[in-house]
Amino acid sequence: MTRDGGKEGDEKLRRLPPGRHGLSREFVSQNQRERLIAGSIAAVAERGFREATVTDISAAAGVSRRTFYSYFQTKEECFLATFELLEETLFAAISAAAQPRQSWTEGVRARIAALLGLLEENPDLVRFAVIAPPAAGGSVTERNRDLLERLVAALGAGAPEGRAYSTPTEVELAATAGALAAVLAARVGEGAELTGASPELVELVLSPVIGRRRAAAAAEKS
Amino acid sequence: MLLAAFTDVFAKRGYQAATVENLIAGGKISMGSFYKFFDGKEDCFVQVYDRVVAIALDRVRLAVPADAEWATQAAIGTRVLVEFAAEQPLAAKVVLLEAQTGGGEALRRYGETVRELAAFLRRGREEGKDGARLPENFEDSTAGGLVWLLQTRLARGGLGDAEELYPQVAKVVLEPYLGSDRTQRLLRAASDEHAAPR
Repeated sequence: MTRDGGKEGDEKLRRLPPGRHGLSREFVSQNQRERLIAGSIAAVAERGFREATVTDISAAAGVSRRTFYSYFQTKEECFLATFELLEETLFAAISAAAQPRQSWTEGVRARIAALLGLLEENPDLVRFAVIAPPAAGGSVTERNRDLLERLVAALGAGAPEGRAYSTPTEVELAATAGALAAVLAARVGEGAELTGASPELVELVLSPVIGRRRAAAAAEKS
Repeated sequence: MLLAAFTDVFAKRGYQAATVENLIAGGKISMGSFYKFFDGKEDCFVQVYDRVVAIALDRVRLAVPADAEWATQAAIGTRVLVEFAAEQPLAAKVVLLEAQTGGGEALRRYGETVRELAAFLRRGREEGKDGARLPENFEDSTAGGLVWLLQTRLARGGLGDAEELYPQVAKVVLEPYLGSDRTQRLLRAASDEHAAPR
């Protein structure tokens, strides 16, 4: 976990300009891998998991196919690495967001703001991780389900003990994950800005724990 | 039952991997016969999809009293659909999982199904006083949540026990409009109705 709340990971996801830098081979190599990861996000955002090819990914990354194959044997391997880095970045940003002196609901609000802020900077992340996976089937879809359910758990983590706080059931968590996916997909699909989704997402995450009325009241402050 | 055999093929092989050869083998018909009824794999899939949805909705219509208010329709409808998906996981897979991998018309059908679900849910706003305070696109996200939870279970093997699952799903559907107490009472009453000898 990085101190700057995932910014390091986030920067890795941006494409670096190509060209000679006079940098050490190891550093360039590290960047090439990261550029391929960024390239896979762009390629999938545009074409989907099945249609995106190694050529598409390499081109988007600004490297040759040969370079691609020096890091990954298949595009699926590249996708896996991308999911891993994406998850690392998202979860780091979320855990860094809640401050120790905040109430739990304020913490949820902060985490959601951090998540939306990150996604707003690169909506292709939503296309890669939320919109494209259902069409892919297989392990990509499975990965996407797992990611969204863990995201929901992380956003709502740490609720206090007490009668006012219920533990969400597995069904409620799944419904929240699907709702989160629907909200993100709809906004990015329409080209609408993401930070405006904050109140409805706060209400979604809080409702199974503190009930809809209190969740709606807390969401209004978002 | 040709379409039933095709449902099987699409569910077990997946839409992408299924071939016309697989379909005619499963349906025990000739290639010539196949192309008399279908333009190709996609057309066949769409007809299978439409059939599953029609069967499911027929079951709902049969179970719901003609004069039922929205909340009762929703409670009974949820039960019927959960039971259907539990009894017929392959048919449920075709609609809930495979359609999204189909692209084109199949994906359009799926999108329409989810939108129609959201439209039905939206009628709940007229039921309860809580309805007015819900976010604008609330029903779209609820519909997304409902299909997601069925998809997850189906992808991981099966729906499990419908009796145990249905009240939890019904809660997600009804509570935003009726509140917790009214939802509990309605589900209890619907369950007594269901269990009572006719």
